[in-house]
Amino acid sequence: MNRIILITVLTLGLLIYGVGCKEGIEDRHQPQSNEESKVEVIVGGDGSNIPLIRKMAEVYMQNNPEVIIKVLESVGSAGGITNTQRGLFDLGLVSRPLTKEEKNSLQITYKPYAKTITIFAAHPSVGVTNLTEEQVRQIYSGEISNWKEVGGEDRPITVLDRHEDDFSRLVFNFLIPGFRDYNGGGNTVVLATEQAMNEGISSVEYSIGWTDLGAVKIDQLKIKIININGVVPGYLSVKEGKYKLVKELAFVWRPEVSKQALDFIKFVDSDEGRQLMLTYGYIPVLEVPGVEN
Amino acid sequence: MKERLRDNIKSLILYFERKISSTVSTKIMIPFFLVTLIVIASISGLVLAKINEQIKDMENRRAVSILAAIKQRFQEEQMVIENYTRLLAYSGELHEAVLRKDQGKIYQLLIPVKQYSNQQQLLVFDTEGKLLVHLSSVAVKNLDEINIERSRHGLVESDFRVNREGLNIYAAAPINDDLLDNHDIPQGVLVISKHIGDHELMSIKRRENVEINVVVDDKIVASTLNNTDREKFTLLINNSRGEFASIVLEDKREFVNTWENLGNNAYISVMIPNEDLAVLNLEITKTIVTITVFAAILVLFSSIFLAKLMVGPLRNMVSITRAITHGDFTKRIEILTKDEFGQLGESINYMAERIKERIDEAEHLATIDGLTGLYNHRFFQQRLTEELNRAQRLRSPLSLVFIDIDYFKHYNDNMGHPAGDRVLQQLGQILRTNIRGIDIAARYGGEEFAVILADAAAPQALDVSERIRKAVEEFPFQGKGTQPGANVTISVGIASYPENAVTKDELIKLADDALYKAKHLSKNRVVLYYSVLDELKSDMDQSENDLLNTVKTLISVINSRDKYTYGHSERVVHYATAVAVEVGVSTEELRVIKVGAYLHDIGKIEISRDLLNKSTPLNDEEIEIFKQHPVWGAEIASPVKVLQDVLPAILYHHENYDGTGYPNGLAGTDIPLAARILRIADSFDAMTSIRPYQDIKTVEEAKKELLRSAGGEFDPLLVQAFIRCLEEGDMYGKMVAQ
Repeated sequence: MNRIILITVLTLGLLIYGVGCKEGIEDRHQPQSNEESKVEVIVGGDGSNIPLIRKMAEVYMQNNPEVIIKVLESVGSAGGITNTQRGLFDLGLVSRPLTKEEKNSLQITYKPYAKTITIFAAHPSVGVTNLTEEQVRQIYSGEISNWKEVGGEDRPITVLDRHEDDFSRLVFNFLIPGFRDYNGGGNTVVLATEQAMNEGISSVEYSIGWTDLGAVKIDQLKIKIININGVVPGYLSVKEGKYKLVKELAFVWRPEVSKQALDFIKFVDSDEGRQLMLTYGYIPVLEVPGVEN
Repeated sequence: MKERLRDNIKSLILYFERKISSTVSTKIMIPFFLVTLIVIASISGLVLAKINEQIKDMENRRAVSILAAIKQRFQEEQMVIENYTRLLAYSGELHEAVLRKDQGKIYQLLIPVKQYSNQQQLLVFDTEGKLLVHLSSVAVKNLDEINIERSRHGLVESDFRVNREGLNIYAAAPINDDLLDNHDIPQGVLVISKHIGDHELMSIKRRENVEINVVVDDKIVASTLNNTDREKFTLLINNSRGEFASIVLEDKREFVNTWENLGNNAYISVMIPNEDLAVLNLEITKTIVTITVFAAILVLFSSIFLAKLMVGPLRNMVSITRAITHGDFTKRIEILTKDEFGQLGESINYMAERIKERIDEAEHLATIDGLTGLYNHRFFQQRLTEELNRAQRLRSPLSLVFIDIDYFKHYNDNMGHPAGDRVLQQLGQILRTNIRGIDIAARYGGEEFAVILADAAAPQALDVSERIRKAVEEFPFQGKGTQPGANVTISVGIASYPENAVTKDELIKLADDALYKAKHLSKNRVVLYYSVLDELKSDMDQSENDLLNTVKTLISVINSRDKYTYGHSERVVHYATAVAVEVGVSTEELRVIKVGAYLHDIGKIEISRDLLNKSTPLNDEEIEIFKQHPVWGAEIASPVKVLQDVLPAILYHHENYDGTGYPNGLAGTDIPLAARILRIADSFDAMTSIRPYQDIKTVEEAKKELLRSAGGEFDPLLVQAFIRCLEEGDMYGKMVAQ
């Protein structure tokens, strides 16, 4: 009698075990989460911001999986302001202060979060590592058109340039004597965005252009950074006042901004965000008040 | 050969039998279990192997399909690049810039293109095939491999190449200002080239979770593996010409390897991790192993059950056979089936039946006397014990009857032993017909028979015995006329439980005494056991009764010591009583005479057995010892109060009438009457019995002797009375009448 009970129990146990196994296998194929509950934050604007903000968004989304930060391709600072005003962007990215006109006519908030160091850079094929401000001016004005004139190879210089309203160029105009007077040398290639500029410096042999130190570090660009007047561009040289080519990066937003967008700004401004800025060669606004201008 | 094999198997079995003592069920169970287990395990193993093979196959198919997908991806990419190049080349602006050989303008056009299309190399050639503009994020290599000849003549060209640097996709298109009118000689050629290196493969790896290697001339040119794994991979290529099927990488993950030839001694290998399939395999294996284990347990239990089922009847038979061996024939094997077990059980049952019959027969024979068909002595003794116990338990009476054929020696001498045997047989027949079924008639020995009458007191026993005596008296035995009294007769003695005795030996002795009495006094007679001492019982308290029993025992001791005087006391009692009645005495006097007669020789207990049985004449000293026995007898009886009256009879039973007797030499009527009567009775019995120191006398001779000594040793008046009694004959009858 006992034996019969035992056998029955064993058989039942076997069946239950078998069913359990089957369930175990099926479990593995169930979907894990639901994408539709996520909130999107659209960010766009000037290209100088984009490498850093993309990096920030990447880190932020790891900690906040319910939020998607979408960083669009560069549309310039003006594009950032306009699209934010139109409500196309939740957050606009700018690399210049608002104009008086913009301040007066628009209901947007401007908040600087970092400084970026603007550098001159050349294609890796170029052997020159240092230029004076004057040499830079001469190259851009077309007075120097061959690298041998500044101690390099006997190859014509392909000069990469941006439009006149590029804020870096405005900075150079302001800081480099005589820079504002050039009107495009013979071989000047004008590019629309900072990303196109980066591509150009990377791809075109014996070319020179300008870009952000942060973009170089974040995108791991294979380009040659040019020292100006023998000063290596970097956090220290900026802090010591030896290197002056600096731009301010800022967010702009409308009063109707979403709380997720504000939370992202908060993250960028947080200790973790600042640490990231320093890692990639940016200067947090609050940390270095003295380097403004 | 066969013989030797059989011998070997036998010795093996014997060896195991010596080593391990196991039951048949174990012998059945273990091989059954092992065989079934092996079958289950083999099936499980085969299934596992089959599943493993299937899974391997699935892995291979998956790897092949992923490889095909990757190859297709490259082909699609080639198409995309070709189309992209074609569209870009038919651009008026580019055409114009090339026409003007305006490098800056070309850069301005192509840099954003390169940025957005993410292509690695963009090249622009002029009509002569001279490189005009080169946009590249990698160092320029193997430009000679790019064939722009056809594109210089207006054709679009694309290719997918393998070289020592890895995979290369390129497309070349003629630069024209009009998409529709392509008959003109193009102004230049636009080439977009994509190198598939580690970086590109990594992106595929991220998407497909596979490892990809491109091998040219047995060297890895592009791979998603790290350096250690690359070395391992290279080693495998060199050892197996790329034919290996699986590889375990540094992180212990196992991969299935699939190959595709790309031409030019180049291969692309796709290694897919078999993690999922391995997990599936593991789970299936676990399930199968579990099922196998459970099945094994089930088989174990079922084999135990089966063994019990098969061996159960056998075990039952063994236990019953063992019981039969130990003499218990009540057990039989229950036959349930008609198979070999059933047949064996039937055989055992039949055997047990036969054995029981034989044993019963033998036992019966052992209890029966062969000649008479009555029970034998041994069985009689056994049954007497049982019947006495039973009577004791039920408080019921029991009588023992002893029967002896009178003058049977005489009959045998005259008629011969065969006739004597016939008499014994016929007597057995008479006994059987005159007793009840519950009674037990046995041949006690020789011509002596015994009957146990259960639940019968002395009167019933007397009736039965009388009936038997009469039946014998009237039976026409052969030659009965030659016997004394012209008849074959029997003497019968009866003793009853609990009246006369309570133990078996005593009962037998008393019945024997009664038989002896019947025999001695006159044959053809039934005698109930009777003791004169029993008469005293009514006058005695318990302690005296005990003492009297002691005296009785003493007397039986004397009788046993002096075989010639066996029954002497009883006979003296008989004679003395007869004389006392003849002379007329008071009841009180009669009692004294009876008891005195019974106890008169009690003093002989002090005399040694040798002296008592001595056959030669005694010397003076011995005579003096002998003469002391009346005094000793009186001393022995003196503590018993009821015997006080009897003491003089004992003390003086050897005094002579003329005063010449002992111990005191009393004479005449100074001697008590009881003593004087005992003197005559004692002497008469002594004369007519076999005594060691004198010849036996006939009754007539004894009578003369008594008459001669009348007035000498004996009281003459009492001698007269004694002789009268003898002549009247039935002395015993007179005694019983009292």
